[in-house]
Amino acid sequence: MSKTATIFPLKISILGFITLAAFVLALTMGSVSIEWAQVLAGVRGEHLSVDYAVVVQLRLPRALNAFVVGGLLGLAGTLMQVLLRNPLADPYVLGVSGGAAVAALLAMMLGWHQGWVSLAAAGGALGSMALVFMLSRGQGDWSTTRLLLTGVVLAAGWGAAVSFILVVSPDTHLRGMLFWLMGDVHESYPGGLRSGILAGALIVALIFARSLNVLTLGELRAQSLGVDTGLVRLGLFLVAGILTASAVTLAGAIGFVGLVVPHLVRIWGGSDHRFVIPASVLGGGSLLVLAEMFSRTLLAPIQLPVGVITAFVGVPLFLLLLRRSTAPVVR
Amino acid sequence: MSIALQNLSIEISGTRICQGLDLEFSTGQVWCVLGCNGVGKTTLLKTLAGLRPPNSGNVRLNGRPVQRVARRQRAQQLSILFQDSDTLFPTTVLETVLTGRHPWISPLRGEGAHDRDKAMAALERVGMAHLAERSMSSLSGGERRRVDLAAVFVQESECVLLDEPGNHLDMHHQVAVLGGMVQQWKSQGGLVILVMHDVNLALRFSDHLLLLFGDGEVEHGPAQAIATETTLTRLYRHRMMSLDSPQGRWYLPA
Repeated sequence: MSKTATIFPLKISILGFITLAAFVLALTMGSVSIEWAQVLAGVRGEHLSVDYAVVVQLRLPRALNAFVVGGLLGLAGTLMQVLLRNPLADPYVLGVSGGAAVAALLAMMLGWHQGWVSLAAAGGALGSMALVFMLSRGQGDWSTTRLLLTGVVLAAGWGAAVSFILVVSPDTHLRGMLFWLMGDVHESYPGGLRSGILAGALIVALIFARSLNVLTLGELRAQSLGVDTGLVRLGLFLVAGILTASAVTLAGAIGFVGLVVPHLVRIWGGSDHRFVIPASVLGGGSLLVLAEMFSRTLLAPIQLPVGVITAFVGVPLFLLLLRRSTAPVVR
Repeated sequence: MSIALQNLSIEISGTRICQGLDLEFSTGQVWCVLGCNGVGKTTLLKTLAGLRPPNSGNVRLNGRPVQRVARRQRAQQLSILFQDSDTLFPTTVLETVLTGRHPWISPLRGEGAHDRDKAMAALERVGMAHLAERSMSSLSGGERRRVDLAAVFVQESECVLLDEPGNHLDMHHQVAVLGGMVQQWKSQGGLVILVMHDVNLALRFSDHLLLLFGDGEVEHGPAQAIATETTLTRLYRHRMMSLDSPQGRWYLPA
């Protein structure tokens, strides 16, 4: 670690630089080319131009939204993988997004307003997670296999419920529902609540990072080293659930960020969670900022849902990682 | 420093490991637990470490029920080497050894140079210092075992419980690495409890034996008094013969 510990700040700085570059790209690229002098004039309040409006009212809020959602999902995935003792786990595998989707679609079917739909999605996410844990907790014992299987089966159940709702819903709601299911970011600034949740969860996770390192060696080993594994696992469950619910209510169901980002981060910088946790936030954030940029520019003027882009990137990348992961990792 | 068993009964899935057992393990002693496969040696060790509640009776660590000792304090006083170790994510050898320092580092701080020095010294001891930055997944079984031993060593607890520590180790490592550590713990006034398969290695390392017969029956006491052809034959349900040599007495299955 003597070697590794000094490398952390460097690698985190590199990720910070990548994040910055992603933002610059997201603000620059698009169907309208931007004249930056006009934007700066707008920022100084001298002259309000179209360029200024496009950057400050459209591209920046979308990019910030994407960053927060990506950070939330990256961190949620990291925590879930420790909790489930499985590098392939993420909130979506557990059916958390499915629960959120069912609740949100029900709310849309009933004609509720956007705010209530978001609240319903959050309730669905947390409720689905609680359900998975209650069902998979057998005789007072946590079994990872059972937990994972319960999540997968519940996710399949939620999928059927989604299909059912789509079929019985009036046609006028369908387009909105589909768009929500695929996941997309809005043209409003992410707001203090979600950003606060991301920052708060990041700090809490960093405080427990060393305990998480020990927990990956096994439940009993962690207990023998003085870690209150019950408490840490409960904390992981709650924090990961809140993170997922926040991401889902902000941008719908965007998959593969929580799965792929922690994986890449570990391959690049090792598995010490004092590195993996902040790196997953920055990595997830910048990945989604770039995905958002591509969603606007790839088939312009058609705007694709961001979830489609992350799936196109995430699925092949993940399969590739899966193939490679059988070989011993040498750094 | 001591581990005291009071009226201890342990059962696991119908197998009675011990019943109403009263026994005290004290500092400066090296105990070895012997018995056939499946008699519950590992379960006994986990119970001693407070990782599993006994069916009845008490395990006391320095006079206090082991499950009521604060976790971190318990980890400072008692360490345990498990039969298997697993690594979920790619970690290096040095990172793995440093996890042994966990109970000694305040929750909000990281490992200091002091901890790293201890970890490197322990790796030196088990002959793995040159592989400190290697990934754990690239090691052989015996190399992993030595890293796990080093992790227990840096935990610096007075009570050390080792479950099959000799597994995968070459014979010279069993004697030099493991034997050397056991000697050092003993000479520093520690308490070592080993679970072992190899009777001769057990007699070489330990001064006391605890025999589990698998039906709740146990025998315990000074190694020389307990280890006899008759007792070991009963223990392994197979005739055991002794062989005297200038280096001491050896036991062989007939």
